[in-house]
Order: sequence, then structure tokens, then C-alpha cells
Amino acid sequence: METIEYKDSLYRALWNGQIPDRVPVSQNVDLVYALQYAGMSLTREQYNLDKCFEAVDKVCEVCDSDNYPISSSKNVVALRIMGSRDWVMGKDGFLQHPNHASMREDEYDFMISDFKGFSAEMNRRSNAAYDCSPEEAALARLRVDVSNDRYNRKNAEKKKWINEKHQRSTFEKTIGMSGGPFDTIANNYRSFTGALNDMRRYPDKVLEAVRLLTDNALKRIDMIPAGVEGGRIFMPLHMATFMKEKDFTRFWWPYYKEVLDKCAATDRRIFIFFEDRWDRYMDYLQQIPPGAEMQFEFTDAALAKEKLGKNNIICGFYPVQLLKSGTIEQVEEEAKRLLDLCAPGGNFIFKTDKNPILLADTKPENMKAVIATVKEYGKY
Amino acid sequence: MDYPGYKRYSREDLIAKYDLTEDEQTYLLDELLAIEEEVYEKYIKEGGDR
Repeated sequence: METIEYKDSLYRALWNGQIPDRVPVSQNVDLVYALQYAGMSLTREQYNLDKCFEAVDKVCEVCDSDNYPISSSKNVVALRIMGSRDWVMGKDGFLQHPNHASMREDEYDFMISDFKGFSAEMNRRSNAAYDCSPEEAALARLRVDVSNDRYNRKNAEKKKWINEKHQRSTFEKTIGMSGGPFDTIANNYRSFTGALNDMRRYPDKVLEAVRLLTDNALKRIDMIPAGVEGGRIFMPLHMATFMKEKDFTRFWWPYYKEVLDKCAATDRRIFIFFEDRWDRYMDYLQQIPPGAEMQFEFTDAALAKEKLGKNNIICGFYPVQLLKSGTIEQVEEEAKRLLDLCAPGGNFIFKTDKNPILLADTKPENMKAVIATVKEYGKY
Repeated sequence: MDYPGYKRYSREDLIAKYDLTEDEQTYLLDELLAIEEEVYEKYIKEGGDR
């Protein structure tokens, strides 16, 4: 079995601008995938971390990646106590993120003039347990805090056990979150459709809000540790590909660029997930300070390798859909095609275009075959 | 910090409050009860913060 030290060395080589022994594999699956693979129920075992980690242990047999195999998961017990309206659990136990807008379109002035009061109000609207008397809300927050403490303690302990048992790289890669300030309006307050409508109807108000949210994002970056080996600020980007370029350059890019520049200037590394297809924005992405890790969903791999692959570490591209529908031969051939395209010269990590969430998203035997192929064919 | 209006939820209270299904009355209910215990022991019994 490859050791933790060997796997750490693969990542360390990339971060130091060297070519590793082979292409590292950073494949993740959602905890839901692991639970379903282990034959467990989302309405029962999902609420018990010991059971969840039995499932993680089991899924390691098909997700033989170099890192801890589970993408960030949520404390579903705390969400239940909060009565979250942003993350709603279906009867089958699956968490959904509805297109919910906690903020009304006429509340930009409220946000801009009193952000603290605005945030408290949004928090109240987004969580049924806080939408009550101050005394009841304080008790709900106490229960949520206790739940999160219990979750974080156990999660850290069990994660360490998994990494040691399966000899996975122990670098803690995600040490904070940030992203595009315009995306925050959509994600946190106005919903996907609301944010795009507001951009057209109240452009000046939206620009004021984006300015404020940018300043807040810059302050929050100061709270994330700097200079951590392997530690990255995770930035999932959602909205830009749904905008016209003239809107992108006015509402989205300049503000996100400030966030990027701040990270670079303060020795904080970033991991960006470019959802959807970013081909038409490639000239902007070339302005991203070097050294970023970038995961792409539907962006053209050859274009990204050519434009971004010299100065950044790229990953993604591999269609998770193929792992659902393809034969073993087809999925292995696609892995080799992608390696031929992206691995030369280094700066490449293998990871699918997005993480499988449900067991139905991939055939487990396909995922296992692809990872084995990358580990063999991806040797330098 | 004081928590006026505190009430320690029993098993039956929690089932009703969170409308727990039969499935959820296993691990989720156990965890909610453990949280109630910890809240009481750490924050309520002595009447103070940690």
C-alpha cells in the first residue's frame, strides 16, 4: 500500500512546482454516496457519525484516492435543530438547497446601511428556530453550538482514523471559504433568479451591495490562517457563466479579482471550483495570481491546460456522467485521453468534473477502475 | 449567560418538537437527547457559561 508520506510527496511536489512521481488523485464522493454504498439509510444512519464513518471506511474500497475521500459534509442534526429554510431535508433524508430568497428586492438599503442588523434578520428568516422570541432563539443557538462542537470533535477524530487506516494524505486542504461577492447575493440572500433580476432592475443598488460584500470578504480573509502548507481557501463560483460579458465585467469580475489579489498578497492559496463552462472567460482567468488550484466542470480541458496550466494546478473535466453510463473500457479510455492532454509538464490532479453525490451517479466499479488507471497510466 | 425560559426536553418532547419519523427515532433521537444532556450539564446546571 502506498503510504501517507508517499501521497503527501505527490502533492508537495506539485505545490513546489515540481513533477510528482505520478498524477495525484483527489477524488471525493459525498457522504450520501458513501452511506448508500454501504447500504445505510439517510433517515437513520446519516444522523450517527459512528455509522457515517463505517460507511466512509467502506467506500474507501472503491474511492481509492490519495486524499480523504469525502467532500465537505454538513451537520444534519444542527440543520434540523435550526429548522433551516436554506437546506431542507426531503422525506428520503436528502438535503436540498431550494431557490429560497430570504431578502426582498427592496431591502438593499437595509443591507447597505446596517449590515449587522440585516444579517441578524436574514438569519432569523432563514432558520425557523431563530424566528421566535430572543429567549427561545438564544436557546436554539445554544443547542446548535453544542451540536456543532460534538460534530466537529467526532469528525476530526474519525477522519484521522480513516486517514491512518487507508493511508490517505493528511493535508487539511480546505482551511476557509470565500468566493465571488456577487455570488453571495445570489447564494445567501436573493436566490439565483432574484440576483440576476435585481442586476437589471436596480443596478446601482446591486453595485453598492457588491462593494460592501467585497469589503466584508476581504476582512474575512484576514481571519483565515496564512502560509499553511497545502491549505487552500475554497471558492465555488456559481453565477458568472449565467451573465453577459458586459455584466460580468461590471458586477462580477473586478470585485472577485480584489478577493484573489488579497489572497495572493497575503500568502493564502486558493482552490477555485469553476462550475459550468468558462471558456469565454479564459482571458480573465489568466489574470488570476499564479499558484491556484482550479477544478473545472464543463470547461474545455485543452483550452484550460493551454491558458492556465503553466501557472496553476488544474483538475476536473472528467465527466462523472460517464462513470454512470460507460463500460469499464470506456471509462478507462477517457481517463487515459484526459491524462494525455493534461498531465504533461505536471500541474495536474485527477478529480472528476464534480463529486458524485448519489450512488446512482456512478457505478462504483467504474470509479474504482478509473482511479486505478490514473495511478498506473499517470506515472511520470 | 442566563437562559430564561429553558426547558429540558424529554424523549417525548423531542419526538413532537421535531416531528420525528419512526426511522428518525433511533440515531437522531439519541443525538438530540445527548445534546440536551450536554446543554444541561455544561450551561444550565451551574447557571453559567463554560
